[in-house]
Amino acid sequence: MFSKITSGSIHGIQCVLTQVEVDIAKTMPAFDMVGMLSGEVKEAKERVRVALKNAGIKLPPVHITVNISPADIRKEGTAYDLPIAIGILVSLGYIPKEYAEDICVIGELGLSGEIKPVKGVLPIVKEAAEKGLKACVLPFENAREGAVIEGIRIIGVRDFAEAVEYFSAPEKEQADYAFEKKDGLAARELFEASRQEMEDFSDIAGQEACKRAALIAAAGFHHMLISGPPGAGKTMIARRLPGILPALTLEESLEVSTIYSVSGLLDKERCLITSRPFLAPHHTTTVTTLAGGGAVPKPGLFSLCHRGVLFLDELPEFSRECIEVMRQPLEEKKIQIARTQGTYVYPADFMLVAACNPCPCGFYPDRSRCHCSEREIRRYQNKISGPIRDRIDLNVTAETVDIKALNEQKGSISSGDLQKQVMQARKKQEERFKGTRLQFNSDISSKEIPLYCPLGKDEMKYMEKIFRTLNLSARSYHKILKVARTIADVEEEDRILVRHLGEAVCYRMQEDLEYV
Amino acid sequence: MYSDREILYFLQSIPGIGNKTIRQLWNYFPSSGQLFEAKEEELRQILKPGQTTSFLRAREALSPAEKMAELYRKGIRYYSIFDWDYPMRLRAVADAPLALFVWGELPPEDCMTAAVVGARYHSFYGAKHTKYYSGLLAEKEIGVVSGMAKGIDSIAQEAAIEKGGKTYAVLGCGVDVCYPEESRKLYEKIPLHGGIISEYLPGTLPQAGLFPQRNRIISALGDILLVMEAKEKSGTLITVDMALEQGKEIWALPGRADDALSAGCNRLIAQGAGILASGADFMGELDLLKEKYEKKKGAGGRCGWKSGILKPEGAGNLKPESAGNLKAEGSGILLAEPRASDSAKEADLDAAILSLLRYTPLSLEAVHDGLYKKTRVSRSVQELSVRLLDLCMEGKIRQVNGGFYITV
Repeated sequence: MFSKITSGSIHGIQCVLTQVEVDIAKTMPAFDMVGMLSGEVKEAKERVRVALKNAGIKLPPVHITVNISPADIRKEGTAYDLPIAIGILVSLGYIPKEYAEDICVIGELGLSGEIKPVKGVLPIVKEAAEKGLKACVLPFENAREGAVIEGIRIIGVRDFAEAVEYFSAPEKEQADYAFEKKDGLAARELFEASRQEMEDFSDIAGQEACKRAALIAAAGFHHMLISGPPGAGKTMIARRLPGILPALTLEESLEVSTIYSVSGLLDKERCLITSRPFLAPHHTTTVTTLAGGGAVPKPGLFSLCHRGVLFLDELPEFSRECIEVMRQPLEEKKIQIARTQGTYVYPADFMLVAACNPCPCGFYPDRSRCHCSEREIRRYQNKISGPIRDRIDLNVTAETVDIKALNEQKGSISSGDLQKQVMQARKKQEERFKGTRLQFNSDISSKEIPLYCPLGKDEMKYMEKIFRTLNLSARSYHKILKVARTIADVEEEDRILVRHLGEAVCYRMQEDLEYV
Repeated sequence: MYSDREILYFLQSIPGIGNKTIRQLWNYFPSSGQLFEAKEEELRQILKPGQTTSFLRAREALSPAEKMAELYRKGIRYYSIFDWDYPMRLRAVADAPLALFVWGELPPEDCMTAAVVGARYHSFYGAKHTKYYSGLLAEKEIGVVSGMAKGIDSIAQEAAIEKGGKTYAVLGCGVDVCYPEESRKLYEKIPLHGGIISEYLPGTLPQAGLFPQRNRIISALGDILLVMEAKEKSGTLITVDMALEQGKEIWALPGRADDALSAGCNRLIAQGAGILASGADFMGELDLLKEKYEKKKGAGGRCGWKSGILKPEGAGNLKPESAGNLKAEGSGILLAEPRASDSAKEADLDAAILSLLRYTPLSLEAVHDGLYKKTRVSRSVQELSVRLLDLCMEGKIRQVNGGFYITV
């Protein structure tokens, strides 16, 4: 007899619903599995056989054939154990065929029959709900995660016997088994309930220029470079940045949570990422950790801080490859990993906040303390290659704050106030970019500059003068205009004014080291 | 028969034989001819076995005349102590080099020269004044002698060339080796505007031990010595010691009392060195000095490249009044006159910024905090950044290395 159970497969971070087809023929006893399966999927055969036996179900001597379709997508992971086992029971007639229809089944089986949690539940349940399936049977430990998605019944099962019990119940009764929503929360409630408290900008005394630059960076989603001597508080500024970005929307939250779910990093209790990710990998990290990859590709840190902030402290200390691999995500906001079995695409739309010392010892240009030679300084600064430099719009220098000033300067602006300004600027950008692919001012391409950043007569003259005196390149011209656009948005001005341009010029990246 | 200079060069080019050994050989044999023709046994009296073998092998190879021709083909001139055109300035030195290799030319005997030296790791302050004083020297047709090292040395030589002057670089390696590599542009320019000088054989690579040695040539080739920036203990002061031994006049650029980079200079001034506090004063002194040095050498009006066909373009750009400006700025007086069109508030802020900025570059953040400390008024970063940029455009301050500001 033949049966078909719906399950899900993760490809990159997308879910493809798959059909686990089981056929039982009364010929020579055998257990065959096909459908482009990886090693761990093929091993399901043994787990299923023993689990069935231990659950008290005796397999008759039959030829079992399992095919997982579509057969041209590589299947990975251990989530196929449960659908295969259920499929066999349906084929053997233990479970009525119609009881298992329109139900998505995922789960790993232990030999004792217990059902173990799997990765990537969120995207599978989401896809199942979108495809209109009525229920999803999944490991109990993943039930909370699955329950985040509305519009589909979630059934969490602890062991195989429970699963069989559920499938044997007539449809009317099946509803009773549903995972109690009060234990887990639906996305919206969970989302509202678990806003995290973040570190606040008001903790930082002084550093007014850095705070201002952080505000502008957050408002226009500009990448930012903070340079300054060790101990100036570069990390403190970066850590507080996610807190002034607008809160994640529900869609964004699901998007980010999906990436975490696929990586198996979703918190079991709080099954949704509700605040913007902030990741600060150490400079000894590898390309694979950052970009993702491995024989079975997994999202890297670039994707894990999707919609959040990636903070690279001591940027020049990162290996050349690590810095260069950032080009694609910075440009295309996604990262592509090619493997023999296919190309995986992970989203990677993050805000890069990099910090660096001005020279190897950290004190340049204070020549009474810095002893680095010109060559050393150049080599150090050149580690941030041109293409990466080009994509950083804001450059600001942090200074060591002396303790007296720390105590005296009061009334530091709080994250809440900054966030309000960011939201206003975002609102202006939303209106401006309505119906286009653009989201933020930082997305404006050089071609679109005249369209979105028009200058008045006075402003044009001012820019020309700046250009002549400061000897700027065309590239910095575009960056300055984009940043000026954001500054104008922050100040709720429709037009870019001279003062916006002036401020933007002060944050430009240095083009060449003037060594004197 | 070969001339003394050919035989000297022949000896110098033998690997393993140094100046000391050459002097011994020279003293041992009655004439250079006999030295060149010496038998193995005689050589053994002075030379070690290895040196003897090298000597004999070299004698078999090229003749001294051929060797000399080879050197000239490379465009390198050779001035031995036996030559009439060996610099007089060096003859007086106790440990005078036996010979000089020159790419370009030597400073003319009848032209005054000044050695300009200073720290390799210098400040913006040092750089600015080095440019200024080196420019003055070039203006007065005084050759600038230095070591082409990083920092002050290179800046001084660069500035001299820029003002159409002559400059001479004394290297601690062969004249055909550019060290440091960063100075290559300068290295290629100098032979056209003076010369590159070394006592070491072409091809000699830079070694730490050779550099203090070349300092004695720098101080000897300069009639006076200008010290632009030096720490309390620095290589620059070795040059000063040598110059003092040679009886040269020293001038030093004063600095702030607590500035490590000026400590050496301030000490020199305390000990009686001339003070480079005003360009105008120094110019006055230079006229006297020039008269003194050029009269001493009996050159009269012959000297100076400006008078002859060698007059380079661009000379005379430096106007004496710029010296006056420098003085005013240096004393830190707020000279920023309020512009009629601007509000008084803006002018106040400008004045405060100008009084804050020095030669140590300050970041936007540092300017903000500094102003707060000074005026107790907290200004917004927006306002400040716009003012800073305006001042840059007016040429009153300069933005360097991204986010740093200094006075001009």
